[in-house]
Amino acid sequence: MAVVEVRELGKRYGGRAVVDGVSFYVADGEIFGIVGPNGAGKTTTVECLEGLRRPDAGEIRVLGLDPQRDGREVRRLLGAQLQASRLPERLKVGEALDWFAAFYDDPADPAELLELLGLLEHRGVRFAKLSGGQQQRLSIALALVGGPRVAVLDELTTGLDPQARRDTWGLIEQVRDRGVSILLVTHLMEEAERLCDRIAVIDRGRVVALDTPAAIAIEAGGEHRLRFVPSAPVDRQRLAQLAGVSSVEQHHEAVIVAGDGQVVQTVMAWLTREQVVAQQLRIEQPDLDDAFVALTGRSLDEADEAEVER
Amino acid sequence: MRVLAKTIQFEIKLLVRDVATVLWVALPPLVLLGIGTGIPGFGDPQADLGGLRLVDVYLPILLVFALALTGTMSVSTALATYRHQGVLRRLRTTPVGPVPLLAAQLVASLLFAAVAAVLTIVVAGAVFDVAAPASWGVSALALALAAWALFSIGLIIGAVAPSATVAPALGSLVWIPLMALGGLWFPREAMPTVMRQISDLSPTGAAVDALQHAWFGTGAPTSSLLILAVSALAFGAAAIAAFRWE
Repeated sequence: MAVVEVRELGKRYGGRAVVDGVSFYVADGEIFGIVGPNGAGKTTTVECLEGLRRPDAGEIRVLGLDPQRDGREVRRLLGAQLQASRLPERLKVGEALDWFAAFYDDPADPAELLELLGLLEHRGVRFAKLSGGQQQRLSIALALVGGPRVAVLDELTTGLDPQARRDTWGLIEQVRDRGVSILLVTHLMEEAERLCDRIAVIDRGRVVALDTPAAIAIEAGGEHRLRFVPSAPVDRQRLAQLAGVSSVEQHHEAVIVAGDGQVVQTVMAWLTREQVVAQQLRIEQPDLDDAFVALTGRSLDEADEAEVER
Repeated sequence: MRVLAKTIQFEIKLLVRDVATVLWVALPPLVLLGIGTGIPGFGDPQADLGGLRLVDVYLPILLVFALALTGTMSVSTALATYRHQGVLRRLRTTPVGPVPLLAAQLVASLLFAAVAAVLTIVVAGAVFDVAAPASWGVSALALALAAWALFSIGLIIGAVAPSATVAPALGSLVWIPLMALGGLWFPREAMPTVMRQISDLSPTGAAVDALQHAWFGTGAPTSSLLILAVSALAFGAAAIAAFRWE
């Protein structure tokens, strides 16, 4: 069963189509990712399903409800964490949770949520005194305090250091294990690969790929790579002629071979026949960053920069 | 109602945690003490003040001062901050929406202005023997209309301020002429004719005039109350029109 369904969503600002025919669904119990560069239309898309914006075209259903027509009911069932949204500076952690709990008829236990998110010992701390990671954990707690069926988390880990980011990822998985379906918005490919069951890659307001992260990475034609130090010299010409190999390079004593999904098998079998051992072997599978380049013709960084200039 | 009560409770806590609020509450009675003790002849009835003492004239001015300070500085900054920080947007994604927060902020601000007003009245009565109002009802009506008008002005400032830090600066730009018209620096009785006419039409001038008449029993301030009611409605409507979520 789908908890969120979006069909042919469209939203224009001043004649510019920010979201242009976006369709996807989020299955019950799934972590679904909306991935793409800054300005791709990710936030506008989720703001339409949170009821913050009225779509110009298309249809949205959250647990069968229309966010515009049945707004109150949708806001009861959907927990939101908004990009760059803060709380009153002098409000304390425990107070914020008690306050938000009062908005719902049957809220989750604030103390239990604080425990889950590792905020119990900070409950008396003012919002302004929390670290970035703690503020984000509080925003997750507030998104969950109404006992939602779906949580929308927008750029949750932006601005966090790598350790806080990894901690937050672990929490999101725990939240999903409690039965909350999650719609995650991110411009970090690593985050999407690590967390999401399925993703929609969005660029310039359109969905350019929709599948599991691994399937997208492979279908986009990204290359598998293996890098090793041969125990004896190898003939690079013959290596390059093997089926599925697209390039062979030598960096000092290391050989780097790139090719399709079979390249690792092929090269390893050939090395065995040649009685050469592949030392310090490293295998790189195609990742979403490569896939984004293949799908859009530019890197994610370039896409972000183009957005800044516009 | 449960949400509103809880939100008011938190708003009051937040205001108490702000040092500036405490200063604002203490300011009007302190100014009164300063005038009372610092200016020679404050306790003598003066012919050009219609037989009132300077201290008598200043009591209504300082009550309006408390409301104007709260409206232009506190209400405006709170609204601009909540919008700027995305608190209003965040609340729009909850079943109750941001209306309880806005209502609670106005109620809490009104409460603090009321505390400042009561302190001022107590100091005036205890230290300078200023009489209780001749008409409590008309005094309360004048104060309520003045609060409505001045808090609406605060909401307009909060809506047009491009950021939370600009709001108090804009607030003081509005507050200084408003209080000049209300007679804080020289009482309305001492104003030149043109300024006095402008003062009559301003919310602060009208509020001070209505309060003086209600307090000292010198006739019904019908025209001032009417001007106050019109400003309350006009600024209230403008505040609703100017409002924006983000």
